[in-house]
Amino acid sequence: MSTDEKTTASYEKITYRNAKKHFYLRVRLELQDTRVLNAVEMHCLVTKALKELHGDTGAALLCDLIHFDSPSRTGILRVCCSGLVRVWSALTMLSTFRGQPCAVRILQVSPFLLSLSGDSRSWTPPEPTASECQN
Amino acid sequence: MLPLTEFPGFQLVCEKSNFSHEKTKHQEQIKKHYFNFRVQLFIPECGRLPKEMSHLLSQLPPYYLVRGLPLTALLQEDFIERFVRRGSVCALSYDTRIDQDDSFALLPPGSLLLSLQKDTYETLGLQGKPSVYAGRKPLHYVVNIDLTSPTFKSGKKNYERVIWALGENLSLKFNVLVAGKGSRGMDHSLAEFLAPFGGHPVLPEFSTQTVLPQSCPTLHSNQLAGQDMVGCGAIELFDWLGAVTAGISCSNPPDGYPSSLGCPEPNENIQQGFLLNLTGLITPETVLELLQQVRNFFSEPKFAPWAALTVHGFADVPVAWERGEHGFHKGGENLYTFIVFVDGSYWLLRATGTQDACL
Repeated sequence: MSTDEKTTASYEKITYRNAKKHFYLRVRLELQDTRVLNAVEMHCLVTKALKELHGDTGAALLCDLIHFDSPSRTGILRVCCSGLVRVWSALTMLSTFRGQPCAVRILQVSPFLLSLSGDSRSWTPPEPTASECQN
Repeated sequence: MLPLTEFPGFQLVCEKSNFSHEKTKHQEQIKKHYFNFRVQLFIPECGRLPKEMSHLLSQLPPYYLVRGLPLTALLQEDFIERFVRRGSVCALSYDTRIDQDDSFALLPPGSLLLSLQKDTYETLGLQGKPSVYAGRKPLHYVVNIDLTSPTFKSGKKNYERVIWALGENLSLKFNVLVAGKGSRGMDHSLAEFLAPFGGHPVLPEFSTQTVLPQSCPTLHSNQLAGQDMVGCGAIELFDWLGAVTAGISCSNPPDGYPSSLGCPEPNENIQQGFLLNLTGLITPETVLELLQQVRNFFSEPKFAPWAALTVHGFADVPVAWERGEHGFHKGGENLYTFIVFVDGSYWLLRATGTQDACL
């Protein structure tokens, strides 16, 4: 067996505890206004919420909107771990956007972006079709 | 009051081994993660479903969905004898939140775990223990009933007490997902058993999509932790896989506003990628078969240097891995990813949230 093969076959284990820099939040904006919102407007709304509740230090938090789906007004925010509570609280307390009542629903929170693509809480099992019911 | 900079704890366990290694534990790791909600397969430099997979996907065993199933139905001697003692059935309540509602899970080889709120537990009249995550004043309890115990038979005191508690006393009913072992004859009889309760078979849903050209982390199978300018580590790859499955393009250099998310360094451009999503109550046996097909995929020369098989567990389960209690605190994530390399080696990445035991 060559040296490379030995290295390949060897076992190694690394455990990371609280060793990530970011948390991810999947959020949905609820707004009476039906016009289409883009990612930049959504990001402005998050910054505004942070500034309203936590002042300039809140507004200075690095909070990325890494994904935004305009039709459903659902997006994914990336925030540093130490800023999670501030972003979460700011979004929860936000009640108006451009003079209209609004609410931000926090759908899922995780340190792993990968886990946001597998949310079993929002999954509904398929209903049986009419033919299956007859059978 | 907690400081504003606090955040919930989490853990990512990364392991590197080889499928031909005499002490490899990949099968054990898959078998002890019982309740799988979604399986995702990502293969870089691959544009369509490999033929090895398409046959398997057309032969997937169904799982069963029963609304308002009385819990005593799963305690009938006939069910225990046919499906628990001689078979391998797992069942899970759904539409129940583990941190707010009562829920249950039946896991092989025959443990019925009830995860109960304080009021239900005190009315039930069965002995349990406080949840390990409950703190000093527990509001949540776990009751474990061993269905395979020799004393768990009609006429025995233990059995009659459980039937009384779950039937006459509280009459607990749940919406339930049930999956069988996968052998054809047994599936059929499971359908027959559940039919009077309104149970019907459901096939796992699957969807495929082609991933657009983008940057992809460079990996070396022998560098689990990564090395500067040589290869990315498992922890960087894990986040990048999350971006790909969520449909986020990691451009390099990042756009900057409103997102500064970029692909980890070093990376290389891929022309396309293939993503498969499989959703339902997916048994560990199906995951094992899928992993085998991924390994078979690399038996012939391919452009893809590796493939990633990710398995998401249900967030609201009393047990995620083996016998360790699972809870929901901010999130209930329990997922694992196999990175399968061409040379037969693999990385196994297991991620959990605050309330989980992932050893």
